[in-house]
Amino acid sequence: MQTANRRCAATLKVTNALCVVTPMLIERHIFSCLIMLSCMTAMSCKREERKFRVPPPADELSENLPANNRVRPGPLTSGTPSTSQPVSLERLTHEPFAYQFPQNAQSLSDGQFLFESFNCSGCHAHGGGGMAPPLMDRKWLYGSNPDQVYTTIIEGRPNGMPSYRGRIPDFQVWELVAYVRSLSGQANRSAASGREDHMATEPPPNSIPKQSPVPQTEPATKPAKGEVVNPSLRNESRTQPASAPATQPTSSAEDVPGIGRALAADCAEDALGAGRALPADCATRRAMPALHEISSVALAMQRCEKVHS
Amino acid sequence: MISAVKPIRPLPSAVGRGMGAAYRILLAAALLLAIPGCARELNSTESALDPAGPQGQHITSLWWLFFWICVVVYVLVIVMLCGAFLHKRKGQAMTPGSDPITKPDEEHEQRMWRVVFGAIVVTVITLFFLLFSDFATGRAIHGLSQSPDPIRIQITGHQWWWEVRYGDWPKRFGERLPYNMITTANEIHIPVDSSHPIAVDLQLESHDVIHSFWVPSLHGKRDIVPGHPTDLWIRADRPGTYWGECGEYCGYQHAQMRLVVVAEPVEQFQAWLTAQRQTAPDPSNKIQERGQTVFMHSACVMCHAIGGTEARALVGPDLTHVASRKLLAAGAVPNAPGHLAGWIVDPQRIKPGARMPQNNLNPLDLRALLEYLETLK
Repeated sequence: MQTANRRCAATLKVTNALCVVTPMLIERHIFSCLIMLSCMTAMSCKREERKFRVPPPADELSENLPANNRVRPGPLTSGTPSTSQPVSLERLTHEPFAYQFPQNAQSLSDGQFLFESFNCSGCHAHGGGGMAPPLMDRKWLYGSNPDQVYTTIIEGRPNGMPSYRGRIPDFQVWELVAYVRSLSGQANRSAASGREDHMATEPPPNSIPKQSPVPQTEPATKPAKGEVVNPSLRNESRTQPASAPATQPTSSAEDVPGIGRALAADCAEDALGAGRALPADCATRRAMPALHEISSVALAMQRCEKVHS
Repeated sequence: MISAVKPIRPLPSAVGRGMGAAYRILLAAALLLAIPGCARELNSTESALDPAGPQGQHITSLWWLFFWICVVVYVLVIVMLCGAFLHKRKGQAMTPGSDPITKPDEEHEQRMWRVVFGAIVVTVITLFFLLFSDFATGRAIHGLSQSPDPIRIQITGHQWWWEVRYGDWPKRFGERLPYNMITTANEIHIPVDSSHPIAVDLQLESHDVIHSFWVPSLHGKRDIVPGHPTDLWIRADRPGTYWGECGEYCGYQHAQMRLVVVAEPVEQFQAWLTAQRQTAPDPSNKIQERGQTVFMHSACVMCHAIGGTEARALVGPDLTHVASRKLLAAGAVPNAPGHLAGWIVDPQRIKPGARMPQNNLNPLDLRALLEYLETLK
């Protein structure tokens, strides 16, 4: 009986103490409580937005763009690298998507989906490189800035990269740009994907350290006669070696043909490897604009023949 | 539908005046009445209680068995409960000063024991009966998968649409050759033949996340887990159009991931099959030509395929016979030129989050593209 009473009293005491202490604590630490609360509220501001409807780019419909086709601007024969229509660099550098998308997980993963869907992997092999240069290392043949990658996708590049002008909506190109750059750590690590959808030997994009690109001297193959290259881009690629002098033994101008040969040999080897792996790759593909594929395969074959003869 | 909704209108003011209860009941009744109305589009059904084939029939029978047994149990329990409330205790009331009852009535105890024991036995028997009938239904449903010479259809769930490929079929529907295979989307045609019933083997797989294939009139749900292909055998015994949908939450547009199963007599099915095996016709006039050029030089060609042209991408639905389908965007809108135009220009208004991007085509191009797509019967 006594023990029961004691227990009862003890419980009462504890309850009383709690009732007294808790308001006191809250009162005394009212500010810290408020700060904690506001911190918790502020965390919800970090939620990223997902916009489904994007405003159309201003000049997609404009008549100013040079057209080589009576319906839409764009190369009629797909697969031929087109540098004849310079994109306006001014617009590209002021493009808000270029800054928003690397911060946005949804855009990055949409970019990844598009990368697989549009069969970029057919040549770039999940960023590891195959017939085309790898995208997860520090070497950028045509520049690593968002506007440069954008230009690469839109205009195409010599030796196989087709032009996708008019075929990929503007915001999707920017999503691709953001994803491609995230492969070498150029995106916000808290937004980049923590998991690749395919087997990967590299760590996922969110744990890749940011790599500073190694500038290249000139495109390995000089543009053919008659092709107009955006002058500002040309200038940029020329000024880049000055910022990183002599670190690259291959960056002197005399070696350019040598680089070209080495690159061709590399490509041919890769193409041979890719040629063997092609059937399996074809089986798993999701999208294959057929002509692009044919043209790149043909190019690769050509190179192989050249190297082996 | 409209007539069912009408009585709801005076609701807000009525609630304000405190007449809420009656109106709430009315509202509930009206909504209940309106539910079956939802499935009445396209003169079709979507009800597990309106079976159209043996599988659905088995499931419906089981459902009614469960229903009536549960009704009986429910009524019994309620009657017992009411009895217990109303029943007066027997025996003399306790008066102050009398001795408390320490020894219960022997006979009463015996009876209680028998009742409780009997109830337990009946419950166990009922549950075993339900278990057995469930098992028997499962066996009966499985029986269809033994049928010889089925039509095999590969169905792939995407976010948020169904890819449908006819992979194999009985000899009488044509040679089993690759060029006879057809690909379509969100619409499955199956034959109905009372003399030689034809079973259909749906080979289900998922491309991205977990989906669930569900056509209530024909079969129960079947979850599709990525990387785990599964089979579902169905058969339709009467012609009709049966709605189906995704039965497992699969993302933002899960609700707009629907499909129709069109069960039709063999001749019609054969005609449909023959039509679907054709490649797309060439454009026959200038406008259609321009439409085709627009298709091949804009974003369309990156994701869609049109048989007989250079468009061969497999990301979005195959458009070789898009004009022959009843629905667009996996059942989000009916297939009509206006809806198609709206869908091409701004899919994100109709189905926010869908993979299809907005297409800023100029009006003439859009018009030509529509003309061309309308020829893809």
